[in-house]
Amino acid sequence: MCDFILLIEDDPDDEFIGRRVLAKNGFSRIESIRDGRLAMDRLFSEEPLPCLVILDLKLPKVGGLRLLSHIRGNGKTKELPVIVLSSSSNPDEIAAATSYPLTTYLCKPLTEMALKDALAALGVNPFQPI
Amino acid sequence: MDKRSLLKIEESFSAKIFFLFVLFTLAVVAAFTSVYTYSRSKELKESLVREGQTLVALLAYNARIGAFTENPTLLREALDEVTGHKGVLSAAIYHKDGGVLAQTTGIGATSADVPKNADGQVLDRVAEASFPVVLELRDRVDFWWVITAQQRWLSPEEMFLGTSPAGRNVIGYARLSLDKGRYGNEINHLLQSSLITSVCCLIAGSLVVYFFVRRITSPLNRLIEGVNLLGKGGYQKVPVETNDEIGRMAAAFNNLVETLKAREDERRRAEEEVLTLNVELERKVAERTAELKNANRELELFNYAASHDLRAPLARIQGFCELLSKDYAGKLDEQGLFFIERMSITSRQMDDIIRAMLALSKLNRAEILRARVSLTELAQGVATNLLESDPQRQNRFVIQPEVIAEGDVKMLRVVMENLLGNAWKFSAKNPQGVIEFGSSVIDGKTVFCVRDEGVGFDMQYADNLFSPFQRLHDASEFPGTGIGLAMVRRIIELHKGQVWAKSEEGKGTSVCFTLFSEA
Repeated sequence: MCDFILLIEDDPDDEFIGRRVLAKNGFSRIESIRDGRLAMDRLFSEEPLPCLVILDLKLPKVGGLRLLSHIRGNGKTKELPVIVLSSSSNPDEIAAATSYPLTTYLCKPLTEMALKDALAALGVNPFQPI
Repeated sequence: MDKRSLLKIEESFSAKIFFLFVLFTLAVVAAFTSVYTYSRSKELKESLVREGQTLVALLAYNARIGAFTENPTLLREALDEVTGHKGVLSAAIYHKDGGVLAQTTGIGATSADVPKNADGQVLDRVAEASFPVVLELRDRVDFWWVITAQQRWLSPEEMFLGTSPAGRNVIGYARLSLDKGRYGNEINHLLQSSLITSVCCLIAGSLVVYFFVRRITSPLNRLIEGVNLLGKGGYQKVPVETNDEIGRMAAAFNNLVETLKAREDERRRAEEEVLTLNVELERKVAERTAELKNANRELELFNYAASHDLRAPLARIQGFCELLSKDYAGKLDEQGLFFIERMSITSRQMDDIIRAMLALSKLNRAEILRARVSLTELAQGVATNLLESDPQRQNRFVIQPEVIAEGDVKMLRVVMENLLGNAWKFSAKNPQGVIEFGSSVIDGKTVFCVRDEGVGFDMQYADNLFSPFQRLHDASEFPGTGIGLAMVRRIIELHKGQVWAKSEEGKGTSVCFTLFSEA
């Protein structure tokens, strides 16, 4: 069961769409962070970890791929499921992101169907399915 | 003279001239000396003979009474008169039978020397010979004269030219020996002075010749030095000292030097110019390369921007469309839902175009991985996908087996996808239309062709067929990005091949290509 999602996304519209789609998939507790630096501070602090991270690639200060490598390189966060959500269809970026375990790649826009498939692939169940 | 100095004579012009001059001078001096010496010695000898003849004639005359009377005192007197004369070695008076009547001491003939005939008979030969008899010996000359009983004095002619004793009353003989040494000394003296004169001439001449030859050869040597220097790349003029051939030669050489120097300067200038141009060219190439690199980097940045920044807002529009159609379906009428659908489709089309643009620009920087590729397998794979995408369609694919080509398999798949995809797309209105793929050899080149029996197009618009974003059909009829054939052409170009199309409206189209046909 997963009830706490960290949404790392700099664009307010994308954040809005993300929150909406996630909510429709049964996730109620969503925390969003606007840049990579803040996301690192949040993830590597003493505060409780989310059970899923949704990560944009193009982020201010610290890029998504770098953040992902930090997440996978840290003992505390290395088994945290991550959905990379990007508007890029660049195969190099897709390959770089999916080379990490427990990581799925989704092309924007986030849709209910795509999210369902990704959650299934990662084995993450919403806390409150509708 | 050793071999080296001989060689030197062979090599040196001055030595040759000098050597020749010495030989010539020696020959001339020797000739003059010998001629002079010969004539001088002849003269001396003649005067000696004349002196001896006169003296012996005098002795014979003075001794005639003494000989007739055999009076030693008279004979001694006659002898004394001549022996006091310079050069007289000895004198003697003989009886007509050969016996010595009187004689002086000193070097001279003994009684044994009295001229005898072959039978040993004394005086016979003398008696028969003309007088005076002159006998030249090693160190002296003997003069003999007859003593006659005649009272008369000899005429000067007889005294000089001699006289025959025949018919005269010979009573004895007179002999006088003259020293030849005097004459020899004079000859020696003559020879010595000739030798000294020759040596002096030789030395003086040599000096003259030496300076003369030097005057000729020193400009020649300078010329040789100049030519040698010229060979090594130096340009040095030689002084022009005279107006003769050598001077003119030096002047001509100087002209040559000047011309060569001018040419060399010109060549160097041209070389420098070329060098400067090269440097300039290299600088320009470097500049252009840098510009090109910049442009490439900008293009990459643009690509990145296109792949992310252009698509991100599009994704938002699509996201909101999705939300609208899902969450507000109940609140919108049919037309509202239709608008949302059109918006969604349009934004997807834009997304397709952006993706196609990216793919095309990526091809511009692509490098091919050459391998053996089965175009048959590629075509079959594409055909299967197309048939599955629209199972309702009746169109058939006819694919020639075992069509093998060289090239990059990923890129050739893109080619087959586009060509077969186009054929499929434009055959939609002809359910019986067959789509063919195969190869044939034309003019020694393997040509691969995709043929369809679709709508075709008017060949007058074929020019733009392979340019990006050019379309021959409107998008509502046949959707597409307008990028496919541009990508095909780019890939075929990367494969050093050609691509072309033939079509007839309503009959169908065939698109053909070659690979590595330039090689």
